Amino acid sequence: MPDLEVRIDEKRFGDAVILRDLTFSAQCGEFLALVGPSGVGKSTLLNLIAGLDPLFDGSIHWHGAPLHRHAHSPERLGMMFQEPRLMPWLSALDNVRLVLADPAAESERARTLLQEVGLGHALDAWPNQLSGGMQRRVALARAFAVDPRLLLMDEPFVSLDMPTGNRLRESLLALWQRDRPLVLFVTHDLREALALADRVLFLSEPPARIMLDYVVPLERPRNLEGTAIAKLQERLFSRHPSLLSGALEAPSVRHDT
Amino acid sequence: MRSRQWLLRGASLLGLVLVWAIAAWIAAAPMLPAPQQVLASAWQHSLSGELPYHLSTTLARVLVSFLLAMSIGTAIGIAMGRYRRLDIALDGALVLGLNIPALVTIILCYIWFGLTEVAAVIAVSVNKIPTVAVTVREGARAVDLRLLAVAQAYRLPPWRKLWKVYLPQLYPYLMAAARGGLALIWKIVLVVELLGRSNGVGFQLHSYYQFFDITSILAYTLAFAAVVLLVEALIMRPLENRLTRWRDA
Repeated sequence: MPDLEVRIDEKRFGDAVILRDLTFSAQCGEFLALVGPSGVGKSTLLNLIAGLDPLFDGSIHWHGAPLHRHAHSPERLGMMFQEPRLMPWLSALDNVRLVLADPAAESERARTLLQEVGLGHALDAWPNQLSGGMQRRVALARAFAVDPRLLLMDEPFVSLDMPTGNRLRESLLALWQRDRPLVLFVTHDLREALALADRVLFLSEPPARIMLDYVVPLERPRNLEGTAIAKLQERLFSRHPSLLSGALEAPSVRHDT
Repeated sequence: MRSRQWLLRGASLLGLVLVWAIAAWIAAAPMLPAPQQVLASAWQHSLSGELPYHLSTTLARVLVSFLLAMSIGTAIGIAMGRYRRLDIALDGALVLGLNIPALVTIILCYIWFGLTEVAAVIAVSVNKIPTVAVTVREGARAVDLRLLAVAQAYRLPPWRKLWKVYLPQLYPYLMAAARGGLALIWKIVLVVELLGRSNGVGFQLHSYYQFFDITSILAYTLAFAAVVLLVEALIMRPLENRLTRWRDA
């Protein structure tokens, strides 16, 4: 039985159907990337899985237990939203401690996590004193702080400079390889998806479903800027030119009726 | 920076006293005693122990009514800001509460509950609760749902969610409610004392009014003003600075 089973029959906002017949499942320890056109409902999907939005038709099971019945978030869920979403009135350290089971006793852990993401010097800074990239790093440390079994990440490294992004991707992979949580990683950058994930789920244009469940045929470690990933991306594009706009076949190729 | 602020505040207060002194000098009438006469009178009343007694009685009433009004008003305000139906249901009562003259509630409380301490405190609180509720409701409506989603996703315990995620968003509104609340309560407490208590600053002012003792009236007013300024300087402003220090960091 898969650890995560997602069956979304329909999710709508008002009259607009966002997701329809979207199903996939995953095992603990897997790294899944979700790729799709922007505005297609990737964040909506993460919110459903996180238990933040109970209003949809379908079911989501985590370790066999239904998450969708009682608007509860799964235990040991680490979540990175599209924005850092730090509490502006708490220092960087307190923002990480906030989510710990016992903030007083595990203070040292929070400190270590912030050092690991390169913020050992900014423990007492307020979020508005930190740059956007630094705020994301605090959010990353916060997501790791709960020892996540399920890690939902919504374009967490977007708009970071290359070295910072690479360092954070490395920290993420290190954590993932150590604790083997299930990672769902939303991105619009196909190369990032190919560099990180075991499987890439491509979302179709709205109403979104999974139109391609692609197993990445590359050994780890992989190099985001290396030729292997560039070639793989090229191959995918030559087979599916409109992949990133949410269609498996290019519109011009479609000869129906 | 900070010491210059204090200098400015002190200078402006001194300026007020100066204007008063000049006005008293020009008027040269018993209707408007000079600052030094009032100060001397305040000193006399203090030595006899009468001014500290009445002042502390008033302060105790202010404190109790303030805490009562703030906690009940905050609870109502949060509930109304959060639940749309409750908001609509209670809105009429709130508008009524905001506009009923303080005098009416005071008289009614004394008639219903007798000339007691409880009636006095209730009368003051009832006057204040609607304004607190209205201010806090604004804050509760403006609460950032995205931060609450963080609290939910990370399954924060309810108390931690309240203290670290929810209430900090209300602090500016709570501070505004507390400030306005104190100002209103000071005033209403005196009326309550004048109408139905046998001690407190309001009661004393009433007695001196009957004797036309303007110097004593101003002496009590002065002591009262000093307390208000001290509360502002020693409690409200430091508290506000502490709660909002992350903003201007």
